[in-house]
Amino acid sequence: MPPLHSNKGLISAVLILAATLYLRFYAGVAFGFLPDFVLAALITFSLFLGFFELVFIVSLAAFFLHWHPLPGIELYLLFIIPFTLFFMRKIIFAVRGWLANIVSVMIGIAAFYAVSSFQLVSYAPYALLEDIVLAGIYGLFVYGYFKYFYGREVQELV
Amino acid sequence: MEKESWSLAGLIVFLVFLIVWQPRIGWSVQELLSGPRRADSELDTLKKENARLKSEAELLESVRAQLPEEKAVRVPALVYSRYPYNFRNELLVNAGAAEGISPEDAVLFGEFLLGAAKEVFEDSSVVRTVFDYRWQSAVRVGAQGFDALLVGGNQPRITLIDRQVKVKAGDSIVSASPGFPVGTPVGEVRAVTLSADQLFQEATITFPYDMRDVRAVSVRTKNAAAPQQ
Repeated sequence: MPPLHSNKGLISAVLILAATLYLRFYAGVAFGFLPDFVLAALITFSLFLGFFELVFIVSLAAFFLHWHPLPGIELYLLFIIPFTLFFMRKIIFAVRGWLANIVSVMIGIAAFYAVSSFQLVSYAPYALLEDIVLAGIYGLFVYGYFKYFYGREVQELV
Repeated sequence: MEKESWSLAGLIVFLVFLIVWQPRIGWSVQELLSGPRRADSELDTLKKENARLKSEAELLESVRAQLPEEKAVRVPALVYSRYPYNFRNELLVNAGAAEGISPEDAVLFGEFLLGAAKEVFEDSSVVRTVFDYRWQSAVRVGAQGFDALLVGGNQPRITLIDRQVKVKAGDSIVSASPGFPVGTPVGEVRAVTLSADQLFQEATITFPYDMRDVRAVSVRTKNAAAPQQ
């Protein structure tokens, strides 16, 4: 089942990423907390884009999210999580695409904070739950967009 | 390999180069995406000044006369970038060891305690702010200087206030933590409640600034090598 290699798909992904990053930086600073829509978008992209397209879009996200002089655990996770799901997408989830997407996003967000901020999560477990649920819903919107516009070019992966 | 794939590969290499060798370009874009800094209205300025004067007056009433004068310098620094995920609240500023910054140096926004330097590099430092969940520091509340603990988070609060003392909305909160300049204003009490175990009082805090507006800070260091400010 071929992934999406069209330029239009990549351009759409870039535009969605740009909008999500804007939301992250503008609203995130204003409200101090914003669900991880960027990671949700990247995980959703991993279900649709080809390998090199995914490398490009994740690198683009990493460039804008890289905030520390040295590479941190978050930067590595930003690559590891989408690509882990990319390579496992055909074998892990024997369910419908949208459900695979929302579960992938939720597991991805949980794994991200379990590795990068395990102790901090204990201070605000409900905030993490809120993050996971809202990011999962956002991932569904991104999934729906790709399914609607590129559904003929990409078969459901499972 | 197709032409498009080569183009994509080239872009990927370019991005990796930017991430590793030119991260400041990304930081500049982050700053742009964060939106323009709101200009301080006259009311905002007056509120900040009022909060500062109030805490200073209360401190002068209580302990300042008993304290030795501290020699310290303030190093101005611009905010490069902010931690872009949740649960931590840290800033990267453009002052480091070269400017005399040391770990645990107090970081101020105007006259208010914003956080402390945690990681210090040659030309930059990571500042953990009071909005970080890991933040804990001693503070005093009100004119009588009741002891309390400032606990960080998305909505910082002060805890462990003696249940018997009278704390009310509007009381100023000042730092009482060793290593930080005594009496540095933190904010004001917004609302007072009892803790979950009913043994202490807790209070939420009103800050006279918005984190959106924090683009420049000053780091208070005792390092004699720092340039005099």
